[in-house]
Amino acid sequence: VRILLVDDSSAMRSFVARTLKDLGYTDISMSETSTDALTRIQAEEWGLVLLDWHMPNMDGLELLKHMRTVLNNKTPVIMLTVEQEREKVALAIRTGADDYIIKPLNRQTLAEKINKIKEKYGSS
Amino acid sequence: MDNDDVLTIFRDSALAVIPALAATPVKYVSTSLKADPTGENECVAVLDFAGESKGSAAVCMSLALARRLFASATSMPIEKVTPAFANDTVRELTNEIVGHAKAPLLGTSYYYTLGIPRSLEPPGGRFTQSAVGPCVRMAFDSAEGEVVVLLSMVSAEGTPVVPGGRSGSANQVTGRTP
Repeated sequence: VRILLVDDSSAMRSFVARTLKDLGYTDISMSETSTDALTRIQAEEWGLVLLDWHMPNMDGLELLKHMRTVLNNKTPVIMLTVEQEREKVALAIRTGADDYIIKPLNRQTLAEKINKIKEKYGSS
Repeated sequence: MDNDDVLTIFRDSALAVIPALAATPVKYVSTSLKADPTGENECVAVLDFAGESKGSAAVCMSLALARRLFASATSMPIEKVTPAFANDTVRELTNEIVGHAKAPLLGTSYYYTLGIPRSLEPPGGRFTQSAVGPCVRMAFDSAEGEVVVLLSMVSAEGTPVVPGGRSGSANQVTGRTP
């Protein structure tokens, strides 16, 4: 699975990347901003986007909305965020997120969510 | 929910988040009111939050500790961990501690907004000003050094959240919105 990790926090990007590598995922790219992520999403094929919600300028939810409505891009997206209110989870799902992980990141949860995506979309 | 309940939520949030992100066990030490809570800590990150209650939270630690936590969280050799990485670790800890606290604080059905965590200028920054009001300082010990969580918060009733269930005068505090 080609994974694009989008988070403005270098600590979080490094932490999630290390966790993904521990889980056996090695094809990982990272974007620090939604703008950079949008460029890469349009230019390349991805198996999964792991997307932070809170980012300066364009936040993760806006990026997701742009992907789904403007680009008609159907790449699976897991939101990775501290937002945990039911309304916000529902909003992310309505906007087009395939799944949702609440920080702090748990390795087992990440593994399970990615496996669900792989089962749903049939990727290996 | 009284003030001590609120402080317990933030304390427990820090105890859950710091080991999860930084792979370092921490132990709660004390809660107190401080006039100069950030002290000489070099890495200070603050995040504003607003809902029914509102305020600011901060996480403070030495640069050396922040670098060690980043190295521990990411398996990066510590000599490659720059001050920028270290400060980013503290911002992310602040983000996750407040995020983790807000559900038990207000219930998962409550809409609540968080700002973007930002670093303050060392040493100490300007977290506590008279306009912000009393500041609660929660200290945690790890094998790597001390982590401090600061909270300057006004309750839904408009009173400062301070230890011991006491409330100060509402006009001492100006809650800031993100």
